[in-house]
Amino acid sequence: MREARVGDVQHRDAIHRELTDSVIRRASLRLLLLAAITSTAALSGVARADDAPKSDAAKHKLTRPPEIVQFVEAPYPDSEKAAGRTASVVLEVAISASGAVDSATVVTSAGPAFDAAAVAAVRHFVFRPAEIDNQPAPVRIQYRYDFVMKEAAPPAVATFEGVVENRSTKAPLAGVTVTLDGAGNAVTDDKGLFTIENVAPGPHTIALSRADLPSLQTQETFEAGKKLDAVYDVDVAPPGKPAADDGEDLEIVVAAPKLTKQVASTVVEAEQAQRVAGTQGDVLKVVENLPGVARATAGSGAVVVWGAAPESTPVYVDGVRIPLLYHFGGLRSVIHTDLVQSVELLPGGYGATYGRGLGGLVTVEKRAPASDRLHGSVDLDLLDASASVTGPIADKWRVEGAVRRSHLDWVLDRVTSRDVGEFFPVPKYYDGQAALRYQATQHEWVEVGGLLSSDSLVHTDASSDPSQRKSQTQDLFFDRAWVRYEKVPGDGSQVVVVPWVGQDHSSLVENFGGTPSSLDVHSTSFGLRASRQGPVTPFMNATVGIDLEATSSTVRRAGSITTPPREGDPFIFGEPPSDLVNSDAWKAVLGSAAPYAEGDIGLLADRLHVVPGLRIEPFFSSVNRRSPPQGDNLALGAFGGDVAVEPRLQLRYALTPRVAFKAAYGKYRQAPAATDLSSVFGNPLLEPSSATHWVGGVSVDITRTIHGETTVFYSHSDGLAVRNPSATPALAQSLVGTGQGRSYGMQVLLRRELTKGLFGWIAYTLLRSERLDQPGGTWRLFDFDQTHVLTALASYDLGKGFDVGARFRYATGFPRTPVIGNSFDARRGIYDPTLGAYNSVRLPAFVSLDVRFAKRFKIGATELEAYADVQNVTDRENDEELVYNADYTQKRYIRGLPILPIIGAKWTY
Amino acid sequence: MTALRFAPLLFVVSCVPTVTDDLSTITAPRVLAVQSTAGASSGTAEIDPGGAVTLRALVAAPDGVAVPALDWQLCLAEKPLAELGPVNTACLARGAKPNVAKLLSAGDSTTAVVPVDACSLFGPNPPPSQGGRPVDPDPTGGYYQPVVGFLGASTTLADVRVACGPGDVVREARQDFQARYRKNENPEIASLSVVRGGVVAAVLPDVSPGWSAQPGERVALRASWDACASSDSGATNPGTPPDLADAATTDSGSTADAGASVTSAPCTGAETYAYYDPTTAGVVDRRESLDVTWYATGGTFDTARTAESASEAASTDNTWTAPTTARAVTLWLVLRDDRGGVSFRTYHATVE
Repeated sequence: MREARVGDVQHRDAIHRELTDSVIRRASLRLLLLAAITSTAALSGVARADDAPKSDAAKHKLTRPPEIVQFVEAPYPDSEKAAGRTASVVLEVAISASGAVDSATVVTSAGPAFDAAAVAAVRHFVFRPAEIDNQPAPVRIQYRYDFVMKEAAPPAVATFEGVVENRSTKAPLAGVTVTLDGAGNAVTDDKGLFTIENVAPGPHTIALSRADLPSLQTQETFEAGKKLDAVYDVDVAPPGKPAADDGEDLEIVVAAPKLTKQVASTVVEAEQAQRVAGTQGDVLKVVENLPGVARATAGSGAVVVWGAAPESTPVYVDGVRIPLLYHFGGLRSVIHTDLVQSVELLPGGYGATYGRGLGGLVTVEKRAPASDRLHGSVDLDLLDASASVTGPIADKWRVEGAVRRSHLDWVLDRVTSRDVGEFFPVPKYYDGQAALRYQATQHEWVEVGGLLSSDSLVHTDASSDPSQRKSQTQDLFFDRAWVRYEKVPGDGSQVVVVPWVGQDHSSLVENFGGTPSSLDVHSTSFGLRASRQGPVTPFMNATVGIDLEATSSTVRRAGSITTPPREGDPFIFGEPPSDLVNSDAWKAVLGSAAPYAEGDIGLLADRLHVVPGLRIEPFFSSVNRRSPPQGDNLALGAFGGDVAVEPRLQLRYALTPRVAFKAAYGKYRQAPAATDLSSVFGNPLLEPSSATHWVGGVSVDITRTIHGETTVFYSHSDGLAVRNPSATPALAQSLVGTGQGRSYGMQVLLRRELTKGLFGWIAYTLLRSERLDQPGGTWRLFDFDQTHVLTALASYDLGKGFDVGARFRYATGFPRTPVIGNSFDARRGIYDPTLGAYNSVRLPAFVSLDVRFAKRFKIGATELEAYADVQNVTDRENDEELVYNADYTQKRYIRGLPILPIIGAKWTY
Repeated sequence: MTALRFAPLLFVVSCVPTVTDDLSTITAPRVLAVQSTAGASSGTAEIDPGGAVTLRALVAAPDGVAVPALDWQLCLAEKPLAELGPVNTACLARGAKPNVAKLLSAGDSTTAVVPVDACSLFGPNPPPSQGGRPVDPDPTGGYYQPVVGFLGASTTLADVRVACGPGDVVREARQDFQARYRKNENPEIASLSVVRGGVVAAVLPDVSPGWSAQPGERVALRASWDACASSDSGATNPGTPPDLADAATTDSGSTADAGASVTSAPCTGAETYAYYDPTTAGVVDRRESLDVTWYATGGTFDTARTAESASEAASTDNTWTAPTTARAVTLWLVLRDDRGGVSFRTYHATVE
């Protein structure tokens, strides 16, 4: 656009000139030059005309002022532009009778650079000549040339550039057609590069196609005036193998870091996770290898994240909460590997979409049922056997399902001459998952699904010494059923609605030395997660939703108040429990409904992302018994309510395309456990506990496939349920919410993505986690505190179907309370330990090297994988627990597993 | 919830180390048992609040080893709920403050008076603080007054069962309990016999010089006690004894019932007793479990402590392997019931 205006000789007018877009792009700066002419032809130009006598001037009249017909833009001097200077140069311009500029001289200087630029430009101006007495005539005018810098207006379109390459070899893929829905297409060149200009802002579906590739699609969101760089890694079928024959092998992976709202998060795709040594091919067992996760107590499978209690890290499967991730003993996860797409660990500082936990968060993304044909697998190893199936059953209808059952007890019965269960309780478990999906359209589907899991553990020690006779029976069963509706219209938005229901039943029956104890919990849970996310403005995405959960529990408990032990109890392995017992039966309903909202605001040319969120969560609890049974008094119930406001904030700032800083802050709440609401063993009036997280860190893309990340964190929790320290505790206050916790430390992750058959990572966590049981007390170590946790693992595809992998782990031992003496309990005829300072000693460090070998055989269109997962390949004797003799005068360590090969085979079709 | 924090460890352990658990061999002076009886010497093993109790310790020592005097103190401090041991740890220290423990006379036996508020401090009655939480009973429904003994550097906790009744329970159950409950009797070892072929071959004397065994001989032993009728609870014990009724009214004004006891037809074996079951809020009959702990200055027992699984059993067997060298050996048997009753006997053997 050009606008030129010349005022009459009596006035000063201006000429505005806006640079073209191309100039803007070259200069990377939008400039607006304001040029102004001060025309003084009548008064000064004519009067001062060299060849016009003053007497003549008085006789003649300027009948038409000169008018610019060709404006020439003065280049902005680089030195001045770099310095950010603006200026105005006033020139005296001599215009001939033909309109050409005869001369231009500086009247008011703005410095040599500005002067020269202005003179050079003005000398190329062309005017319509001035007229005097209605005749063209030479004149002189004064012209002010203003040099002004101005931000360019944003273009209305975006640019899309990228590269498509072979995922395994990283070789560029030429000839791939990249198509945007309704916004054009491009074909990759020899370097795999493509460019599509003038992309309309907003979300687009990108499709990649080539003759030997199936139809691959992904979604990108474009912002006006910005360029989106993408790297698409594509799995390519081996030469000679039609792509359509094995669609499973073809997967589009966006290697360029997606915009992530979570500051601290580690995602592992199932394909990698099942190749990690020590996991026996179980995708979800990879969680224990992620940064921030403590090595669990041997055989517990507990997920301890950033020093938070295991129950403070909830686990969700596609938005459905499940009570635990692993079967008893931590041998297997409760979801079949074939049904898992990925698992993500958020150790803290996560956004507003989730809550109800003071610690981290584990989310499992389930794999969608296959759409091309029927697939499945049969897996058999020493631990268990499983089978899965997935595929279409009709137009728009797809199913998937899996079952698993353990047989370790059966195997051990046949390879040992004695009842192994008498010495080592062998867990028995089974699980199953099923889903039916209706794919209404490409962007909309509904799924009905369910899962169940069962665990059982029986241990008996039929000692001839009645004080040492032990029996323990532990069972856990849970099921879930859900409906999931999801719509992804293609405009960048997403709508998800997941109502679910489930039941849990856990039972623990113990008898130790004649002291019985039991804990039986029946729970029915309801949940609803509904959310909508999508772009609000070109620079902001938003998510709004509601997260509702309620659980009704019936609990029966009998036995010692110390059994089972709580965090903070000075537990000595093998110590007979107190024989002071009680019992209680109660019902509790706990729930909360949390509306939440979260925005993702891109600023500073998308280099800074601010993600504020807010979760408002009204908690409620109802217990049918406020106090223990007393005489003939009727039981009174108790009701509690609490509205929690939980602000969350994440920041990510990309210092360079490869280096980003991040920070997060958030408040979190967690309802008390139903088992803590007993009027005998707990406190029916316990309130939700709370925590605050602060997270900061930096991430670096060292190369395109090697990523480094360092995160520091601090969390503080309040209102934790702890034992009442009083010698005369009030009725129904065996627990009080006075506990506090704090965890702080750092974690480092150096990760190589799957490239050329190799992937792996090194994760190191330095952490200290402490608890304060009562105000004014002394901070003590958290029972699960581990100062150092180092995990290094790698897996390599040797080719020809061979895979090798290794995992090295080092973890500081858990803290323990030392025994410094004893006393003889004459009534029971046993010794009691005299304890030293709480958690003042540690178990020795744990060190283990695990390896995995696998070989895949092609059998027609199917594949058989034989594998050996060898744990503790060096047969190191790891001390897992302290154990004392009967009078606590000697101590030894219980050793962990020796070298343990798990051999198995998996057939997939 | 931190349930099962360590229980899973039981699964994965591959190697449970061997530690010396042989507590049956006496190598240094030790307290093996403490018997409490109401009154001077021959009462029941269950004491009323405010009642006198005699505590008699069985102190064992190798032959010729001097035994230091046993010091006693009566614990007066309630145990904080957060302390998970059997007694307030302050009571386990010598020279505790007067408000924590009261010194008793020294010696193998001592006497004490159970505090009148014992059922509030250590029992089912609400603590002095308003609305406080009562102490939990043991699996037999019993409550105990702690008494601590010091033998040199070793510490022994001797619990005295206090007749507190079931606490603040529904009226019908309380009345039923009062009608049926009988205070515990200390059990008694009737005999120690040598068993051959499953039958008693000889009853061993408990007086010197005792009996003889060959070096290294394995001697099958059977400890016996009286058999009790299985239905001796309730029918013969009507009414509430005045002594317990008095105790209830003197117990800090508590409204809790102190229970009832009639000692007619006492039995020194596995008694049947009335038990208030909080899960059903009713009173049921239970039978005591008895076990024997075996000690000796020489030789080894197959098992340090034995009990038969059948509660009706009136004996338990063990095997003692005599030392391989000739010497005199002292054996002690401690018979315990699960209501805090205990008795012990000493035997002498000569290995030759």
